Amino acid sequence: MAAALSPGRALVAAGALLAGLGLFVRLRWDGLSHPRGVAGLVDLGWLAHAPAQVALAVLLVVALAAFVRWGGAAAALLAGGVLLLSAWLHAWQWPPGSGVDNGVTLPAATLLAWGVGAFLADPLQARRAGREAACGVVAAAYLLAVASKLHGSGPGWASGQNLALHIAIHDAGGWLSPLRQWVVDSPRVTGLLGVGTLLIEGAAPLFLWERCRRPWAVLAVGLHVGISLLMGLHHYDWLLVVLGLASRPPAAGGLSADR
Amino acid sequence: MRGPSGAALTAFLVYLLLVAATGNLPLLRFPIFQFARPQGPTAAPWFAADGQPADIEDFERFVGVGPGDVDSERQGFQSSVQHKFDEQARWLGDHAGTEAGPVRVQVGLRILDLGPDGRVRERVRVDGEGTAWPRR
Repeated sequence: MAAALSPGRALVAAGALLAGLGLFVRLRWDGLSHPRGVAGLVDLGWLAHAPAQVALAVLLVVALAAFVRWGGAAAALLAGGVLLLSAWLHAWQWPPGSGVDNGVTLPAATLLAWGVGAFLADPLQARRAGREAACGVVAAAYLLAVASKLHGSGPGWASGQNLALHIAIHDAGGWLSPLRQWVVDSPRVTGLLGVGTLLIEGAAPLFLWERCRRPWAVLAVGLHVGISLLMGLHHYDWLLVVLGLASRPPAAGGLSADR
Repeated sequence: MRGPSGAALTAFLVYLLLVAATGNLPLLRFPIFQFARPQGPTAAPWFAADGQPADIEDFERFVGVGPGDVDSERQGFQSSVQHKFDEQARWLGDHAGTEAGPVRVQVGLRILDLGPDGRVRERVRVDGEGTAWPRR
């Protein structure tokens, strides 16, 4: 029968909600003075206006509530779809090729994977299959992060100098600036942080194994807290998704419905 | 230890294949995690209020300084924060004013590179000056 409220799904939903609400706030704050359509073919500028955004936000909240309660494919796909649409709407407002704060990636991708996994699986295994598919996406996303670093910079990415430079670039003042400046001026610290980052992200495929999810999630907490403190890049939505998916203890044996 | 489930492994491989096929992460438009090692001086946008570094989004009704003062092209400098230049230019364009404000503001570039001792050096280049009003 339907499981009770799942703490794991609640954490994943909280991450998705954080990402979605942040996106909606950003859409309203920026004013969206340059609405554009998809490849110039379809004018989706009407989505930039308040009523449409309110409707999207309500739809997201309803879908996430249903996801937390039942964990079904429909709720996961709907929530992931709303995040995806909102992310594209946000991205369309900026010049092509420019960087866009698109942190909904992991929450949206995991929800979509959850939905597809649950939809394709045997009904008795739907929730577990959805959760497992979401874990696969998490492992891939973090592995791609380290691959991107090494592809762009080689092993030299982990040099203390590189990370020092990037921390300095992102240090725009504030109460954390003294800490950041101390780290920037400490080559050994930045070297350790660089190597640590590559090791943690490189170990992400361990998330495919149930028994490894909690230990790796602990490392991910350290990674994201460090990034937040030193670079002001806040991906708590990603962190909540990782914690939510890692929250379920490894199964004792055999297949069982997700809780 | 039991191996990965079929669903997890399938999703993992499908996601990686999508990247291989599209050349980028699905749902992203730029290498968000790359933080590529700069090959020369690198630039980030600079904003100051009354001579002190400040957050541009704490100010509005800019006079004397506008999007044209933001050196988004940053000739001769790399940048891993191009979006910040775009955001700064857009903020200035969307919050132009007509009446001079009480705060003296500056926009420009923070230029960072590595010195002979391997440590980060920073200098500021001011590209535009004007006034603004604090946001309430």
